[in-house]
Amino acid sequence: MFSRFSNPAKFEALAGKIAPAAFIIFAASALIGVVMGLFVAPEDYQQGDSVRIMYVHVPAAWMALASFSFIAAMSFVGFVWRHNLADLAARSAAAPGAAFTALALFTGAVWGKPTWGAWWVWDARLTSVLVLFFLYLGYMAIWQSVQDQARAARFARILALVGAINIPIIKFSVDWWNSLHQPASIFRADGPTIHTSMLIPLFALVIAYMALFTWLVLTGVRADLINRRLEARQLRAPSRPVGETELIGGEAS
Amino acid sequence: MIFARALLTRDLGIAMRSGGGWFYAIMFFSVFAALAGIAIGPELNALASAAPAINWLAAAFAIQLTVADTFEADFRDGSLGILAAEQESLFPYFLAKTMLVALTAAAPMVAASPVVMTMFGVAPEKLFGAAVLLAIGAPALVLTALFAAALTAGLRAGGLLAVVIAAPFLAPPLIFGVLSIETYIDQGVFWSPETLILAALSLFMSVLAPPFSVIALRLGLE
Repeated sequence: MFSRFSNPAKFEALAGKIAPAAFIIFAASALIGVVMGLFVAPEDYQQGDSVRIMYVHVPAAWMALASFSFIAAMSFVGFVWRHNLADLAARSAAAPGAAFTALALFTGAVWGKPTWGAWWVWDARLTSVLVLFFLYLGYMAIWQSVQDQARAARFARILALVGAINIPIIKFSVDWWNSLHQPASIFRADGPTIHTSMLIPLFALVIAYMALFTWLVLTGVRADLINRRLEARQLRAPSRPVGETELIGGEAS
Repeated sequence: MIFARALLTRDLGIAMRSGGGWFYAIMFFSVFAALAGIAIGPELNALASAAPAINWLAAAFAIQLTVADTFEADFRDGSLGILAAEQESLFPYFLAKTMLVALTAAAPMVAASPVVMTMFGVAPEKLFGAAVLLAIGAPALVLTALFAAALTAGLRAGGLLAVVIAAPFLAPPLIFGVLSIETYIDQGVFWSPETLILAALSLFMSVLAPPFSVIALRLGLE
């Protein structure tokens, strides 16, 4: 399956169809989620209107972890099969993943101020998301520190894999260390414990975030592929007088 | 093995001769602890409750900073390239470097930690146990630092990136290191669950770090 779509031409054909579809799904479900979350869903009897932060916060926290899992999976594919596209996908996922993580941290702080009375609490989940954010920063720093992308990819893979192996341990350590956070209330054996009117906007936004992530990653990979082709063309092109070089980008092919 | 021993002897010789290379870690450890003590203030209760955390933070950063350029010199003068070309595997090389850091950075620090802990008001009869706990967790710190150094040596990106990369992986040993010392000082239990997990983290890192570090070193040479 991976080998099939590691062919850039096939990938681009597929991504060209999926990316616009993902964007439409994102726009539609974000609209549903935001409207229902803001106006239809009831306020919480204890937390009041601040419960609405949950619709932004919970999907962001899930996507923070899901994006890193994606990076790790792609790095594994890159590590074993040496597929170039897998590395590009992992790289394109890093910035959205870090953004989701930052969003989860920020909305967590905004929610924590009225609820816990403090912007930041050294609670287990907050802390492990913060550590995850540092992991994202290190991963992106590695990509930035090498000029040659193929070479950078091979360093980045190692860090992503070691990071992925360590995430459960970090999570476990931080849980042991301290937990004030409420236990999970959506995925439980006896069914969800929050009301359907709150679940619909929540899941609409989960779908919106996933679609956004898909769109960003696919677009990132396509942009990388186009950039690479442009560079290759520039290398192949005969040398020109200095004044003409900036025309190459706008040249019709 | 013979190769690893020869390398270790050479590096130990260099560390002993070159202006006290073995002295930096213990010096950083003591200076960091002293500055922390000054920052916290002379109040004894505050000092005593901060003692385990300061001890572990000082140790973690001292090791990070001494390890950050471990591979750098061998990269720069080309000796790592020659070693990689003539040796089948870089494992012995990595083993020698691990031993070097353990002997020149971790061991002196473990020896100095009772002095620091005394300055922070820890009872004398607990000092030895607390130092042993630091020794139990030290392999996790050393191997994390070596992994980050191996990854960044090839990038030629400097030591600060190594610290940034290692930071997330330092959270578990810091948590269990501090908890194990606190349990030991407060309740007198040495082999608490926290101590066992700390030992497990050291064992885990000694499985995880060497293969990935060796891959990263080879990559850096290309």
